[in-house]
Amino acid sequence: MRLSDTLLGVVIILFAGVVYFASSTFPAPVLQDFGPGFFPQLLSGLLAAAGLVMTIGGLRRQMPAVALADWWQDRRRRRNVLIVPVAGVFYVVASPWLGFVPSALLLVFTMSVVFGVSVARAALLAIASAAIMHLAFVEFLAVPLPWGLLEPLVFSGGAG
Amino acid sequence: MEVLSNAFSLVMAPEVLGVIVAAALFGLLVGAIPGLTATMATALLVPVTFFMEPVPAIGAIVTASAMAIFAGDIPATLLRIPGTPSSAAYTDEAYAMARSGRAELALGIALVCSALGGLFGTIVLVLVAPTLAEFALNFTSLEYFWLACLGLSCAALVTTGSPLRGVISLLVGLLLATVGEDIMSGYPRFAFGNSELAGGVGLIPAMIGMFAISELIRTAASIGYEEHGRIERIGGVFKGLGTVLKRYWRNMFRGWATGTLIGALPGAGAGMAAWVSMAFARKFSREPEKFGTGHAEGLVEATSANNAGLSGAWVPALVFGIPGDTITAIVIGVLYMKGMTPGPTIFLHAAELLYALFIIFFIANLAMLVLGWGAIRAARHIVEVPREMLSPVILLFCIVGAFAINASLMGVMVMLVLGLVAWLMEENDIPVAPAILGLVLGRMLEENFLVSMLKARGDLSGLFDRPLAALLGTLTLALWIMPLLVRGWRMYRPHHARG
Repeated sequence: MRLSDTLLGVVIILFAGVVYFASSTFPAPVLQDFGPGFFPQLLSGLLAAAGLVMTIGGLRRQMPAVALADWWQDRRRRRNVLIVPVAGVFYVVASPWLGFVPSALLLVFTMSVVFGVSVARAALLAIASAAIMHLAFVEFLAVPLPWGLLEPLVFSGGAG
Repeated sequence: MEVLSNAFSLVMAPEVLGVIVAAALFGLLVGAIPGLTATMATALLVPVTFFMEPVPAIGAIVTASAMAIFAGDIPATLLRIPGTPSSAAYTDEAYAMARSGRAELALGIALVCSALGGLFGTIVLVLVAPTLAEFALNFTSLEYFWLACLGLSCAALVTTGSPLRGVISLLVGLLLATVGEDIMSGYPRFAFGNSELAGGVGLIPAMIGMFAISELIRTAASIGYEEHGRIERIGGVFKGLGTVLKRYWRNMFRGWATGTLIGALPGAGAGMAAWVSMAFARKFSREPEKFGTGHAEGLVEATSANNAGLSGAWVPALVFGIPGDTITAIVIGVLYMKGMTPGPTIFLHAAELLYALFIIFFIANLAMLVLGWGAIRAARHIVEVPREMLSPVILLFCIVGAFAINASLMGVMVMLVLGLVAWLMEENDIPVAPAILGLVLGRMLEENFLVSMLKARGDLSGLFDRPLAALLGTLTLALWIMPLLVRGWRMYRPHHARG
């Protein structure tokens, strides 16, 4: 997605404005010349100025306001691109209650099927990658990846 | 001498050597697969190095990045697809050589010149860094403030195609660095009541996002649509190499020098070193008409330069804490993570570690000759790894890596958001490197400014109080004013001439 210089400049100015006003609510400095808001205000002021230069420069050139990339026209390519952020968001939402292993299985399986891998190979890939990463990070490096649904199985199994 | 022998014993430990070999294979693999960059290899390594001792952690990064920069030449030569952006400058030349039946020679040049370039850059690093560090011991907050300004200005103005877009990227990075507690008052800025964000934007999740996630999104569009020829069997790569290197030794030397210098320039990395060297080679060539037809001259110079640049970037990173390229920006994050603040004092407090690092640089570049040769022989299998199966696994690895640093989902969220931001920036031709430098150096810039202002009681002219600070400050201001003057002059001259 490519914005015209004019539109991009306006987006930058708006962003800088929000940051500027948010930082103007920071407490005033005590016994110092510069408080916590000074640096963000200076930077957002400069950013707004840069956005303004870009907007003015863009007015001189004829550009479509928003130009969509080639892949947007093609259904399969569009799905390929969108699945990456969607899979990431899925993990953030699902992993706390599903747990790492089920979320990882679903993520790798769905993504590779979308990318065109056969169901059998995708299943194998999902199982192998979830298992290797669980082994490496949980068993070897002691990272507390969430157990989620598997928690009762793991923690009551040994005691029972 | 004792320091050196201690450093040797640090490196020669079996687990360290094991890590180096594993990192080398990883770097060769990532570099040779088109679409995966050397910076991405480094970013992906970071979560793993988090759990290592400092020497193997840094050693893994040194080795993997050097191997990846070389390995990018393999698909460039054989398929005309640069494995990493650093090979893009001479992809056409190397491919033209391969088309005329000299693929082995092109790969041989890439391998040997990469290794020699890396070794030269390392020698410069070993000789220059400690001397510079001794000099830098006298620096105060004033000099550091201006050094950070100079480095950031350089990254935004000099090393990007459009200074305006570079400046915007830089400011976005600096603003990201202001998230978290204020250094003086401890006020949590832009934390939205979240205790983790009050600690600042995590450098490691940010870098995995900006270099790996953005890359995954970008390359996803072409999955299932890649078309490339088949790779033929590759014979002996060292045949005829001696003659070429003897003929073009001047190019090799010039590539080393240009590469190291450009590498040390903040924000400009191996890729830019290769482009500039290619341009130099053509400009000073006696047979410039042969360029583009499979002529070895430019290849010798540019492939020497990109690996030399990789080592050169470590000079400012270690001595001043100002990264020379995106890879050393990640390294600085790793050093902080290991409790080692980069800067001249690291040469006093962690001398053994630095010597160990230098030794690893030599080992990595020598090992490249052997392992790189193996990678060329195995090229057929590496280059054709199916992207549609690799991408989901890389995404999962990024997620686990970003989670592992603080064992929290906040890291994953930061990674995803900044990955999307970096992707959108690149879609709109806004370079990402200045933003990364801004994020890494933002705190240092602000802290040194505030400390200097405390000393000068809020008087801005106090920033020029010391001679060296005044010099650095003038240089920085000149960097900003010169382009404006030149532009003004260009606008004035045509009118003047007409009148």
